[in-house]
Amino acid sequence: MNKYCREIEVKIVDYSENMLDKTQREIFLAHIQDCEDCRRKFEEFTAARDILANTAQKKDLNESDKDLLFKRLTERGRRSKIMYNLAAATVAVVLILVSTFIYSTVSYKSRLQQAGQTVISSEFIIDVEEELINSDEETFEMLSSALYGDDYKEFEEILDETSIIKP
Amino acid sequence: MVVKDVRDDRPERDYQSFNDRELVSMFTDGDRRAFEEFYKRYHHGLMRFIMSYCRDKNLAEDVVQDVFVKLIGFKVRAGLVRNIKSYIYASALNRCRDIVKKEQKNTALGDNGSNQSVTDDSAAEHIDIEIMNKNIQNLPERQKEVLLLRTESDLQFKEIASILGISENSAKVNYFYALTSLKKMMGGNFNE
Repeated sequence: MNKYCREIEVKIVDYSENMLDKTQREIFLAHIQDCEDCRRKFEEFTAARDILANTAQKKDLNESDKDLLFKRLTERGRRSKIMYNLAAATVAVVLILVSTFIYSTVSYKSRLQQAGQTVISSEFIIDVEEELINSDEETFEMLSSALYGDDYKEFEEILDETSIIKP
Repeated sequence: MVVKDVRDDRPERDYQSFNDRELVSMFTDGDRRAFEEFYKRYHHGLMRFIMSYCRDKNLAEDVVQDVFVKLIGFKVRAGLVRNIKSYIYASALNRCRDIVKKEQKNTALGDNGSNQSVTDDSAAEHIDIEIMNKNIQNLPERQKEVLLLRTESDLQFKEIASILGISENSAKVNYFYALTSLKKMMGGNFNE
């Protein structure tokens, strides 16, 4: 048994169904002549195929139910279209409800977050302000500039108004 | 006043140029000619295959109807079915398998109604066909399916492989052994 004998069944079917090109056909036929096992398989297959072709069954297929089938299909098609549209409408409504819920939740959260940020920033300012109060003049000016930019003078005014003692 | 049917102005459509998916969508919307084209493409091959598998014409008609109706289902409409041909044959095959399983169960319980005997006065050709049919039923399941899809529905091995979920080579090997086994089973019963 040589390498070509492997899957000879596939090659026999390919040959019988005219699926081999010219070179492949020549190689196949040469092998069949040389290899007794493969030749026997080929002959068995060819004989079986001929028998099957000779007893090809003529089945009487009438088309009387074609109209009925078409009617059934179009009716089902119409019904399924209605169901399909209904399902699509339901999905759309659900999507709208879900997105509304998500939007309101997110906006509520963001409002909460904003409120949280305000608290954090005021805490931060209070901390810095305490440091400012306890620092010397040079540090005070440096920190004020860093915190309020050139407008730190306004901060001094705020300090004056809130009667916090400047160092 | 004569009212002109607006449909008369429609350009003539070449239905053969439409693919399966387009035809399904068209006949679902009531296009009779699209249905005719689809029917022409598949009905005959499907009927032959199912009749050979189940050996019952009425059952075959029911299965074909069910398979066609399935085309209107969600899977096809939503575009989840890539190959309509493979889909309808795979659906038919599944139904046939169920029917045969049920039949075998009934036979095991002692109901032999579906077995048909071959009478002595039948024509030789008829005997050949009957014996052949009987022997096809006795082939291993996979071989039988490949053989019927190839011989009754004239499907390509590539298509058969796709329907059965096997490789093309495996389909060919099964076809080879189905035919040679069939010949062995027939023995001297053939009028060659």
